[in-house]
Amino acid sequence: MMLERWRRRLRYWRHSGEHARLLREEMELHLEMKTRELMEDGMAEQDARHAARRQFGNPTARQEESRETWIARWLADLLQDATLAARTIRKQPGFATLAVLSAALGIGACSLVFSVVNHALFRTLPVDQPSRLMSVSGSDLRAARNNLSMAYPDFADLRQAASFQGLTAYFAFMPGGISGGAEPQRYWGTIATANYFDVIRPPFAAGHGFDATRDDRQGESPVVVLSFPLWQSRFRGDRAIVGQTIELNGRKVTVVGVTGPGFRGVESMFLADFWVPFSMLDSLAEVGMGGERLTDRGSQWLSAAGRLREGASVSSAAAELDVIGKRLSAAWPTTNRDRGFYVERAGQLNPGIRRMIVGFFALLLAVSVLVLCSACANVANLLLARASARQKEIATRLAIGAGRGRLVRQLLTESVMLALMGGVAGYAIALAGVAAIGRVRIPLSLPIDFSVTLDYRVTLFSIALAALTGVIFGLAPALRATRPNLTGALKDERVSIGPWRRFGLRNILVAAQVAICMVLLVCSGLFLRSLQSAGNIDTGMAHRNVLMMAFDPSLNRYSPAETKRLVDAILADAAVIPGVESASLTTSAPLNLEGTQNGFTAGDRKTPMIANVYSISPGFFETFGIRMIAGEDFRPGIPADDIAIVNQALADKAFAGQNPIGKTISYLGRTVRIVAMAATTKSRTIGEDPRPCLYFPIARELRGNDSLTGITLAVRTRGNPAGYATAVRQTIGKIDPALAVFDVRTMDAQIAKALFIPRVSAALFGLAGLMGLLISTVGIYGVISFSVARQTKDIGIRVALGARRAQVLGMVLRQGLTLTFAGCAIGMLVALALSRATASLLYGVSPTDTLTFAAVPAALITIAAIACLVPARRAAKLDPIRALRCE
Amino acid sequence: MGKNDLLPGTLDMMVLKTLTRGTMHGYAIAQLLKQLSEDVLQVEEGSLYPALQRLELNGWIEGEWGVSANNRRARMYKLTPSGRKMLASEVERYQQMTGAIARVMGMA
Repeated sequence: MMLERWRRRLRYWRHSGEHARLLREEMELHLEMKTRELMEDGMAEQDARHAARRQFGNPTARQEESRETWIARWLADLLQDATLAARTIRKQPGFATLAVLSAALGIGACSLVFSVVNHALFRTLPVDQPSRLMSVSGSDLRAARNNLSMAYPDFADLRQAASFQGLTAYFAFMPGGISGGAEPQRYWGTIATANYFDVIRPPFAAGHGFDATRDDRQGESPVVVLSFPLWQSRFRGDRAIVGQTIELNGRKVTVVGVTGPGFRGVESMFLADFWVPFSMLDSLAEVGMGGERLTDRGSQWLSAAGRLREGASVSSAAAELDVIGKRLSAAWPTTNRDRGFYVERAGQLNPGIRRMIVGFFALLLAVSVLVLCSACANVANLLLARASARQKEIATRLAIGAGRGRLVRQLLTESVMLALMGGVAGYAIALAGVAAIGRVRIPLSLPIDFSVTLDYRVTLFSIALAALTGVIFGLAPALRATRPNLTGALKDERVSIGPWRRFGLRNILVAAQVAICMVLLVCSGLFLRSLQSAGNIDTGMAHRNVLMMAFDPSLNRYSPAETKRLVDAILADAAVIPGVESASLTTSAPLNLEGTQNGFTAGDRKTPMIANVYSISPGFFETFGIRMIAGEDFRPGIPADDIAIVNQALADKAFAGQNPIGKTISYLGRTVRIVAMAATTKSRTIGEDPRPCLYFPIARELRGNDSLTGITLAVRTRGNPAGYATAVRQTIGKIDPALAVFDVRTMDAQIAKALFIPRVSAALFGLAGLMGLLISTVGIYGVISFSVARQTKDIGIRVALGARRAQVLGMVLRQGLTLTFAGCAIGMLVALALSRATASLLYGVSPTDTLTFAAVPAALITIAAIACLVPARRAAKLDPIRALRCE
Repeated sequence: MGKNDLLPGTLDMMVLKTLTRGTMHGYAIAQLLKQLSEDVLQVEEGSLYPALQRLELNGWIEGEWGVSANNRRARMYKLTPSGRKMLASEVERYQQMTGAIARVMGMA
């Protein structure tokens, strides 16, 4: 009945304008019929019209009255309910605070997680008309892969596409050393076609973008656009910088503009610090990324973005690019076979990362929802407790004729109001959380974006969640409260005196809370244990006392010969710093998530295997404390042959454990002879299985170094390695003051970073578990206190009849602990089932870890016992005379 | 004549009663009310329309656009089953009420 009315109301609201017009028509018809009838009775038309009008009354007023039928009554009721609810809430500030706090924690956690997912899935770029800006990438039709890079000639052919007003191509991974002003530092920039800013149209904080008519041309005086943060941090936000020249990779470039604060390029997670036009391409070649970049169709290195022309859509653009792709495949079969193009809204995360983020956060969302459920159970319990305290009031109102639906609605208004207040507080929690996430730096040296913003979707989500929460935790208590035993309640009888009602709704809720809390705490316990065992893991290295820092000579336009001289000088000078036991160079530090991986084939096998590839100087194994199992380290100088050192894991995998020395492998078309075998170390992550590693002499690689992370200098020190940072830095500075030194860290710090994932997981689950613990402690305390209060008379009688204090204490404690035990048992079963799912994230700890599964219930039961003890002691101290008189 | 000249709720009841005769539009309902009461009940005709809206919201009658006897587009109302039930209970209540009033008036 009520539902039907709502349906009709909604229909009315959707078409309220039309409804009013039709009602008007209906009334007009009435007037007209009346007029005609009166005329048939012989009245003149004018008089008849007036008479009809008179008898009808004021049509506008009637129309207004009709509208009110649909709307105003309901609004008035709501207003009345809200006022009453606000009054009730104000009268019980303690209850309201607990309820709001519980809801806020739950809603806050959910909103925070949602805001991250929201950011990952729906974010828009801060550019003019972001929905018209498309990202265009290459695709492999056979492997069904998108988001591939494209070659410049292909891009040039794409420019004829009629679907776009403009197309720009860019390369987002250009390192740029900026010196002058402060200490030289390495940044990441985008090198783009000169129409980049005309197509993307970001906001500018100062100056403007490239000049599309000239900045493309080789030999034009070079220009740069700075990002807002770079401008702020390096040039202190000085407007006068526009028009001046700065030194970028050892070359003078003119600053023409600074982009607005939010704009860091169109790549979804990779932040640009600066932008330079294609006229700087030769500078890219100087940083080791040379080649026939503009003419070679086989060299795929560009990303592209285009702005849709008026009337074009994503699908029409895709269709057009399809045609162009087919034509190119036919014309250039060697390079373009099976290659096409892919269009999507710019700024989207690539699908792999999106899946990963969504998967991880789905897990987190599940955890937050558990916390929220626990919070809901608490508030529902508080409401139930209060409802039974209000039984008399409600019974009175029912008795004098209040409708049950009206009462339920009123009670619901109250709980929804509480939940909405909780929602506001929860939103504030999410806001704080987002700020905290924004400060998180993922342990990679590339500037990857994790800043999240709250937008209207998050706000809507919070509000909807709060409203839903209010209804969920309010409905059961409201329904129950309005179904009392009228006569009993009016006489102020309390229904459940004496024996504990075993399966009351409130008890079930508390047991559920304990179970949820148990699950969360077990998960966090498992992650903590995982962290603990990961900290004790053998990395295969003597990782104490190692200091590392990176530099990139290619940024300072070093030729290969100069680079050779530079690294020799650095290595020689670093080795003689007092306290330094050993110094060496590598293109990639161990336990660095960015390390290079490449395929190789061993002997006459056909299928390639993947190895982590390091280019190292002699002394690497000594510096990092890696045991050499067979053969000898590289010797100083450029080796005459192609040689490599392998680790044990590679030997086991590629040569079935035979001694690999003297054997050859094929790597990037070269035949490489193995000269030594080192012990296996952890190469990328702490938790990995043994990975094959290949070590090449760095002296050979310096000629064509394409590492993005530069060259890392590592030193083994006596005593605390962090204390040597300044000395080593100064040593490099003395050799070339313009050389940017970055990523200064000890190996221990690097290992700590490698534990990032277990640490974050443990922290998140731990946080959720603590919230759950807090909430369920409040829940247990509330239920037991309330039950003691209700049994005052009963306890009084027992004491009067000779029950000892200890017996009373025991009775109350037993009630609380029975609930806790039940919750723990259920929680244990669920946790056992769930922990199997987290097994892949755990390291060095079984998903049924005994310690965790023993410690968590023990802790939970202890805390529950303490929560029960307070009301139990109150019960035990009852003065029987007072207790019997009470009420 | 204002709408308050009737006992509260009686207009709704009378509209429902009228509609037991079949589907009809607003004007016809007004006419019938007037005829049946032999012109005693002079309801301000406009107040019929809010009453119709009220009844429709409660699901007691259903309005649908149709064609009147003289071929005009008109909104035709008909009684729903729940309206019929409502009418029965309203009539009962009404009879109790008028009976009670009559007894009081008879005693005085």
